[in-house]
Amino acid sequence: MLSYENIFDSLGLREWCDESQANSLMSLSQLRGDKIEWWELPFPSLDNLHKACSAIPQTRDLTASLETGFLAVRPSLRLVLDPLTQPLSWALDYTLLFFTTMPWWALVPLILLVTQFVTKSSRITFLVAICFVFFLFIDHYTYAIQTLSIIFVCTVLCTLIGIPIGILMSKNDAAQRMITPVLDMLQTLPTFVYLIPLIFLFKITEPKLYGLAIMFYSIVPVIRLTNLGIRLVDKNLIEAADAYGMTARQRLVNVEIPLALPNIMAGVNQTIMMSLAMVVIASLVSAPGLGTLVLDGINNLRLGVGFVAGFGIVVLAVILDRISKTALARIDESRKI
Amino acid sequence: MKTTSPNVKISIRKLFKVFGEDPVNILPLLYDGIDKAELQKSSGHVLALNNINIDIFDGLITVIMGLSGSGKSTLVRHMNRLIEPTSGKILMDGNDIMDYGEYELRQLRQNRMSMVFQKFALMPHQTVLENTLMAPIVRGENLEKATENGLRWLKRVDLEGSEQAYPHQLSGGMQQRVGLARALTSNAEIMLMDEAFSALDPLIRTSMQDLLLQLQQDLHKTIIHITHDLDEALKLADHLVILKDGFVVQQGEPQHILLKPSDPYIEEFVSDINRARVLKIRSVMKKGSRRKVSHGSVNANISLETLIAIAEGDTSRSYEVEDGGNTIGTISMQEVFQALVRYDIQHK
Repeated sequence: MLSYENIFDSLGLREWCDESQANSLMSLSQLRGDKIEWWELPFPSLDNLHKACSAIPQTRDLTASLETGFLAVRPSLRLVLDPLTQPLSWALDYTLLFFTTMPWWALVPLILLVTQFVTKSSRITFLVAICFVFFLFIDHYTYAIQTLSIIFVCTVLCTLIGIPIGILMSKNDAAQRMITPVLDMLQTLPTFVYLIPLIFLFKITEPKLYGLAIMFYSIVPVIRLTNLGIRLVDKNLIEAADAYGMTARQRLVNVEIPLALPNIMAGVNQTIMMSLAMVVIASLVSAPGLGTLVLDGINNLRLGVGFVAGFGIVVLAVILDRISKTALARIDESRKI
Repeated sequence: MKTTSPNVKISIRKLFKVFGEDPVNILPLLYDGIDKAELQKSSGHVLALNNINIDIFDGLITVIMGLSGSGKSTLVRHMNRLIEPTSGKILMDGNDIMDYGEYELRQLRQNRMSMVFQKFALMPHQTVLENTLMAPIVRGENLEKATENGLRWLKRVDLEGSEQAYPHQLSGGMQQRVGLARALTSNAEIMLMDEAFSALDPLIRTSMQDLLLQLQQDLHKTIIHITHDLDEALKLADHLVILKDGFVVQQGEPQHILLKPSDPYIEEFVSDINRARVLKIRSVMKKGSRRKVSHGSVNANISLETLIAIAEGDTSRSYEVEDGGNTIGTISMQEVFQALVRYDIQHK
């Protein structure tokens, strides 16, 4: 890299470069004093410049300083975020505890009742019954219930947080402009990347770690579709609401939300499915459930274990999708225009 | 009711509406009398309403008529400020509603005005009854009493038995009757009807017009009715306003407009009309004349067509015209037939 050295030399920066060079090693080519031809000149990247002048940092210093920076702000971040997110931990812990300690002969009928209530379809209820008998029979019932409990908590919270954000976006163009890029980012980030800052922030055994990862990933559709649904409400109806003197609140509650409901429910359906996708990956950070079995299958090359757990996840996905889609269709049916 | 001069309910003064990026700075051009095409070409602004001055009379049906793009729907939306004017005054019982704040404006819309829409605008997730009760629900009234009132109006518009149906289960004509019942249940003194009958097929449209006239006989509401259909306008209007390209071409009693159109545009408009059916004897007769008549007396409010039938087509007859027991003039069949000649041909 003698060529870049020449540049530093000619700029008279040699002394500044060598200040910290006391313990630096010389490469073989430097020792030999090889001259390189101009076409072999590498791009002046941090690493290459560092070789010519050790006062310039290397690329690994960049990542290392990010890390130290993150570690430096971690205590103060935790101070704020820990109490804020603690309810999530409790919600997950207690829901898991509640559903896993409830005996199967009470919980399975309860789930079937809820299914029948929201879908009004005995066909779907029957399908769900078959699936749970299957889980019970192959001793995967507890894992499935753990997975379902996590999805339940995360979906409820996503809906409670996501719908107001969606409403805000639909009412306020500035908010929409600001939030849309964030949603785009949350949706395009590879799922593993979510885990990285969270692992730094929280202890890996804390439930809120995976709870947050799942929620960040799965809240996007409910926000987007609430926003879209409210923006798509027929302008004639909004005009009628205004002409009869409705307040903004009356209009929202009586006109906009009911008419956007099919879209909002489609968002909730997507949120449920994305929670399921994420809960498997979240088993990397101690989320219990079927994901742990998949992970076990991968880590220990236990093909059968991984395969059965994977199949169980597919079964869960099918019943969750059927239930939420049938409930959605029922709403659509009663709101034909 | 046409003999006493009615009170002005709403009066619109010097109302301008310009759509575009910077409407306020366009105003001086408008005061100078720039026309719509010129304005669009020079600045890209669309002139929707150009110096509108109209009076809307208490207890009468005012029909605002114009072709599409004439600004009639925009104009009616100014009366409850669904659209804000660029400049001008809208006086209601003498108060300028442009001075109203959010609260007063909402009170105005809740209590004093109701509206019927071209596309019905019924809430698809609510039953017919719930739709009808929209105004009392918005006002937060006692539901029991409101329901009684709503059911009464639904019965009045022949929708008894459909209270629990959803709008999508009804035909277009029935849906608009729900729209009408909703407006009537609000008990507002002013009713805005934005092309309320335009989306209906002709037979149903006629029956809705008859229904409206029947209701109006008892209610005497101040109705502002928008239409692009001259027959409908002549049938319903006590006071007719004709709009073209955002300005008022002529306004007045429909009979008067028909007999004395002030503008070639209106002449063209009225040329296709069945004058015999629309013109009333009252507008054609000789007032207070003491001529001798060959036959008995006829009512002032019958149409020329009816009179011709009464006279059995005999052109030599003449009649006394009476209204409410008093003789108010005379008419000869010759005058009747003269009145049937189209204005543009009469004055060639």
